[in-house]
Amino acid sequence: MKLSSEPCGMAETAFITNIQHFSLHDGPGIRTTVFFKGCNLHCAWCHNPETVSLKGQVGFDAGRCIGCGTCGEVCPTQLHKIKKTLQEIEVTNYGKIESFRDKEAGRHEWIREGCLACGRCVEACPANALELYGRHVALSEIEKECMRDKENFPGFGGVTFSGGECLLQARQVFCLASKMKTGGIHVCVDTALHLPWDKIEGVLPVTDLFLVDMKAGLSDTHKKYVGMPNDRICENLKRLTHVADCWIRIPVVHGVNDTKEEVGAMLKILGGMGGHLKKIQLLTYHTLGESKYRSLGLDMSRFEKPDMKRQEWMLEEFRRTGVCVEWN
Amino acid sequence: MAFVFDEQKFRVESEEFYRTYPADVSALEAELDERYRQSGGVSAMVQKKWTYEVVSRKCEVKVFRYCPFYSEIITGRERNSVAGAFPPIPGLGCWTSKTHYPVKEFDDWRAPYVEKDLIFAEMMVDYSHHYADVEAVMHRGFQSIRDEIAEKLEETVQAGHEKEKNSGEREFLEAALAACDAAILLGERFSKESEKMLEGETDAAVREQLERIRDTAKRVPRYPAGTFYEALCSVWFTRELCTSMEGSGFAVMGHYDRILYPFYEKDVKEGALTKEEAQNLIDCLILITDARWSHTAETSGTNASLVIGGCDADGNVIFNEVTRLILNSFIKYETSSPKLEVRISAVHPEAYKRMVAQIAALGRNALSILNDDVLIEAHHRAGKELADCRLYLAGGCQEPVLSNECNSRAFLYLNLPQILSGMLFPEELDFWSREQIVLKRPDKADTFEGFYENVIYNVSQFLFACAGHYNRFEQIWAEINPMPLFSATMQACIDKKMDVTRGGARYNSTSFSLTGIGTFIDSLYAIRKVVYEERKLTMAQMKELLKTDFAGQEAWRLYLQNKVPKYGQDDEEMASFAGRVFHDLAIHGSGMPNARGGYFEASLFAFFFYDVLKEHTWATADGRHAGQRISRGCNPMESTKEIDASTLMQSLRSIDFKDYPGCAVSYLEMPISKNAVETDVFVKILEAFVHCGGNALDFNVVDKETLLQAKKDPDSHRNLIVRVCGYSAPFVSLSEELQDEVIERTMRNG
Repeated sequence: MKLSSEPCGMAETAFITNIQHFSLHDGPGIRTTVFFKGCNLHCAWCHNPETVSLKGQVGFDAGRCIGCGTCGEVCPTQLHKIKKTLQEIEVTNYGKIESFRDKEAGRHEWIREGCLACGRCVEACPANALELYGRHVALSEIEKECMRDKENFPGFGGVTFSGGECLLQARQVFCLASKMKTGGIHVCVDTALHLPWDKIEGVLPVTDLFLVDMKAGLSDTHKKYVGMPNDRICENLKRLTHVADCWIRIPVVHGVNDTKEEVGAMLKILGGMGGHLKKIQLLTYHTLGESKYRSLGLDMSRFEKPDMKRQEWMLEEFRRTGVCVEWN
Repeated sequence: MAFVFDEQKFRVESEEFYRTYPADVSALEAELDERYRQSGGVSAMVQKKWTYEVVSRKCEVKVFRYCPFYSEIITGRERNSVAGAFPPIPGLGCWTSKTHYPVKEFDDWRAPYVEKDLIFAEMMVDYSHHYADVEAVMHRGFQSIRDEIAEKLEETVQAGHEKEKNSGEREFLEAALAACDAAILLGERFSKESEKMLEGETDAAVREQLERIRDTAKRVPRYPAGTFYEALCSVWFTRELCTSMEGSGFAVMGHYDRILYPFYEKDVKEGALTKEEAQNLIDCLILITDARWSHTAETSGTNASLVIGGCDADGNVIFNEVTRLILNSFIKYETSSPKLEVRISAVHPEAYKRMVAQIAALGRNALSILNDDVLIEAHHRAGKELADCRLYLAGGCQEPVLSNECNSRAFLYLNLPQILSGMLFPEELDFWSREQIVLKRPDKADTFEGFYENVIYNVSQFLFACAGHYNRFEQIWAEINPMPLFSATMQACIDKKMDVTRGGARYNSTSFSLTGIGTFIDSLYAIRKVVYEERKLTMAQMKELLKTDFAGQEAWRLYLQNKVPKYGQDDEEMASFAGRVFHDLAIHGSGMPNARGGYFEASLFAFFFYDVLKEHTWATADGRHAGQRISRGCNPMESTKEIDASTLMQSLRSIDFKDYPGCAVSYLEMPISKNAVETDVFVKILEAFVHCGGNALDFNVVDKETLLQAKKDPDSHRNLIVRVCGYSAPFVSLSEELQDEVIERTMRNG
């Protein structure tokens, strides 16, 4: 794919879930992060489950729903229903509906299959109980929002393209990153590198720093928890560290990639890297994505986080690479 | 003779002493009462003179063995009494006020409005946020001030008694003279007290300090300070003298790095002072300020404030070795008093910002940031000389004051959302008919422009009416608690032969604090969108929702809360509307003359009154339930989503904060952190705040986990300082409700 030879059409759209301002954990400094939707890996501990599917999705937070039924009125496929309950009838007979939040007015029932993710119910829901994951947003609009913080912060860190796997939309990343570069903004691309090399190569000229996720050292472990072996990732990583600055980021999940064998395997991979590997960030596994799983109607696999002793041990092990290591 | 600070021993000694407060001074009070009764009612000015005489002659003075500063006069104050003095607080300093309390006129006027939460009105005028010109006293000494006053008095006596004005002048000058005499006498008594203590003292280090006090106190602040140590003694003693005797709070300690640096530089050059000793002195000064407070009480909060940074009268940036010493102390100690008021501008050096950021990132929440680039210009626009504006100070929460100004700020809080409800429901929330104001009914307007125009008109009428009453209360101020000691520190008062409470200072400003502007803007905007533009509700329907607090209409409430853009969010139309409201309120909140020859200035304070005011505040059109919190300072509502630090900065850009010399405060909750990377983030935020044209900024740096733990286990978290609003307090001393509020805020941004 020869991205750089094609003109950028800023009227094109990118498929994203969110643009996060004041992000402190996605590269150096205070950053703005664009989350692209769609991923070709399926990490069992993923904390952004809404960015995995390539299709739009609607999330539902039952705790916020007041059962007003507005969603049902606007749904083109009639998937939202408000179940009338006995309790509601009793209460309305006395004419005393104090608050819908108490569920007196009924319970929301929803058939997820068949949802077009058109977003009408999301727009209509007064309680913000419904949320749309995935919007096609014009590149010009994304560009404008990314540029905003450069105006606010004299020491703005830059923009990070993340996801999901943002390089599944490599052309959009390229177009946006080109604009950022022209505006003098630092660009990070957060990727798992499970892609044909030409996709990565395409964004090389417009990327200052790659944030590369490393999930496991042994290919079998990788396959078990991520769904794919890691051979291509390792190969791409090796190539990349010879030509572009990289930080490697490892979400540390207890019992998965904090064992002696795993750490050994990762160190072995890291041993063959090029000189552009600048930093290794170890990230503790967390369950902050739980509410998103729930809103998508998905079950979240549960893991443990490594204890302090193991964290210290891992820090020491990774320091042997001679690269700057930090626990973030 | 180098001072070595024995911190542990000082902490024990001061705690043991202050634990005995309040001391019983009823015999002295009875003596004053009897004298007053027999006199048949002298003026308050004469009463103040008597107070100075009694305090300086009869109150015991306390010298600490492990502290080289002297200031503690046992006047019967409560330990936590430094903040405000109206209603009068225990101690001889408030004796004059007490004999005139309560002020029926004030109580009668405010009662119906306070009851309905239209206003929060504890004080008649500002009894908290003053600055006695300690810099002038430090350079001049009380003796020289006394001589000048004596000369003026002679002049006045010569001129005779024909005019009533003369008798007022004479009484003032006599009282001011007595104030200077009291200051001089007290210095001598501190000197004698240390001499007495020396008799039985065997500890060599202690002896050395006591000798130092013995030799210094009789000279300073009677005469000009000559060394760094003397300068510190002078500025500290002068403020404490005011706190003890004036029946008022003096929140502002002074612009220490600017005024102390020449002494530091000279002493170091002459080899009379080392950097270490200077650090010890500053450390001790910070800790004695903190020691005067006990933080176990529910009401505890800070008031004493130290100003650093900024610039001098010519606009030269101040960042010197003394700035560093002060910042070092704040990095070292987790105190909640004094607060640090950090003046900062676009041209301040990186090293300064980095040290301040370090304090912020450590979670030392006793810190306020003031943007010089905005505040100097704001005061200049208010008609003050540029050189004077450059020397502004601030204290209490962040109340700005020039060094030659007697301001009256943050004493009346107006509840903007409730005032708006009062326009929609004038029968239930009457202010207008009582004050004989013809209300322009906004709800009768056909267009939003008409609606808005009427709202702003009514707000301005509300402010005018309040100003009318408070101008009378300001006159009563001089009748019940003149402050001739405070006045003696102000050159203009001596020149004019006039007390500060009558307008003796060079500048005399008053400001009402507008509270809940975020809720106010959101409510107006919701009415604009839903009633006038989208026409989803009629005005009558909207009013019905508000009157019934959305009963049975939760879907509508949530629609208003969630589906209408809110102030603070990244929305251009909203931003421009918010800018307009800020500007219009500033215009109508300033410019009226006050009773002291000065003018009203616009300000947006909150302290914690945004929380106190909420109780009877009706439901608002932004979907806020009746009784829920209104917005803080100039912040968006706490319920507004998608407000991160960057979006908050963005929202500042559409507002001209140079309209607000009385300060407009932004609050930013940040998670606590202890590593260098995060210090960087704080540096960037400081820069962004200045760059985006913010006015004043408070951080609250905490992590949610810590707060939740602290709530469960208060005993292990006594030192966790959080900012409630404008003041910092130990988290565990807060009510459960306030604790929950702080936790909620942290969760949103953390």
